[in-house]
Amino acid sequence: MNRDEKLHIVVAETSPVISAGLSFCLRRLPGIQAQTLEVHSYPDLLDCIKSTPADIAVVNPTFGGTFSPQHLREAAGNDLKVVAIEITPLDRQARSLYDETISIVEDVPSMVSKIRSLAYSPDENPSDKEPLSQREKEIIVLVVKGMTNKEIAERLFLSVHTVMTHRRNIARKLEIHSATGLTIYAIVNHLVDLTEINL
Amino acid sequence: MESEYHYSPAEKMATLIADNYRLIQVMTRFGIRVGFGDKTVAEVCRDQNVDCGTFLSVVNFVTDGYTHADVAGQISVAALMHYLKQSHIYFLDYMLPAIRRKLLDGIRMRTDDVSFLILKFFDEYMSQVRGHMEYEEKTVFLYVDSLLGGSPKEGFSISTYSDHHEEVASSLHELKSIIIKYGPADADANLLNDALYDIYRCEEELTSHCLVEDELLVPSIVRLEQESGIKSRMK
Repeated sequence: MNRDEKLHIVVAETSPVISAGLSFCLRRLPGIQAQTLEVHSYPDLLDCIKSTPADIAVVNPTFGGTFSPQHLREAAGNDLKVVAIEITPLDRQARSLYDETISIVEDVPSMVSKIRSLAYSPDENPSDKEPLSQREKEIIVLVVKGMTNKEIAERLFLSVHTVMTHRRNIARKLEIHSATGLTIYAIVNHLVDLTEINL
Repeated sequence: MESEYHYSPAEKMATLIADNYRLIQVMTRFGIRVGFGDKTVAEVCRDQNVDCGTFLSVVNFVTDGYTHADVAGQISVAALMHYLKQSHIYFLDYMLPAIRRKLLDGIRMRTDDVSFLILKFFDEYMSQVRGHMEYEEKTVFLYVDSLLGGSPKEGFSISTYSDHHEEVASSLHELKSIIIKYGPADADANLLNDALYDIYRCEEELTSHCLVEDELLVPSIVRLEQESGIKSRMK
């Protein structure tokens, strides 16, 4: 999933204290924009994941009678990751049914790394501090001056496909998807001068 | 254990607002006026001619963040559409113009720097939102009117309803981060903060509005189509 989108996490737990606590922790994890929903019964959990697509369900393994992680994934119909809340340690067999486990004594860095690896694919992960390459900066300047991908490709002796790949990477690194947004970025970072562009 | 709704018709209207002040917006868009004393939700709705099932469906959805399987049966599509139209009016005629004014004053707009571009970004965004809402009113809402009137328009089904909802809220996310990262340093801090607070709130409300359309409107139209014998192509 995209880094600048919010992560949707459902916390399913009968104890309101554990549920609220976990939900609160998940929303404040540094560097992770999460939005949480709490449900306290199995019928509510099923209604919830069917109506509102979630990325991760954090569930108490002893939750409700017919509950099983596989059943939940099937009901969700998307790529839902199911995480067990470990109040008492689970055995290996039980653990293997889940994508991950979070213990109620888990520390923040460990929760962050677990949620990250569940939610983002590895190639998305290190992107946020990656600087723009020289080529990407050149392309930004040409985009801001109003050139089309085809014109940029001709000017830089690249294929249109390569230009598009560069543009996707630029959008991902800067979290800017619009031409006006790129123009602002380019001016503030002195890649172009305001007098050089047609507004 | 049965799934349970957060609020029932027997709840006091004032309790809803005391629990979550954001529900004032929902109330207003349904046309419910303040001054209802200690009356229950059912009583206030009856007095003010508001469909109670639809009102509570929206309230419960906004509160809990998800819907129950039987939700479509509680909703009057006409009442929900009226609510959504009122929301459109609120965003387009009230909230977005108010943010624009604050932004304009806050960034001390000049024509020779990025402050001008920030406003341009906002204007492009506003016309994108307007376009999206007009599309809904011209296609989806008209289609629903025709369904309710008993002679559904040919060639449209709710399953063809496009989902470009993501963009509506994500562009605001981009605007916020542009102002924070690249905004003019000589801006009026208080006015700009005010504009940013409003943008955060607007983003939340737009996201919630789009969710109401996806999670309440779409299922109730599917149900309506089934009742009118139209085979929905929804999965």
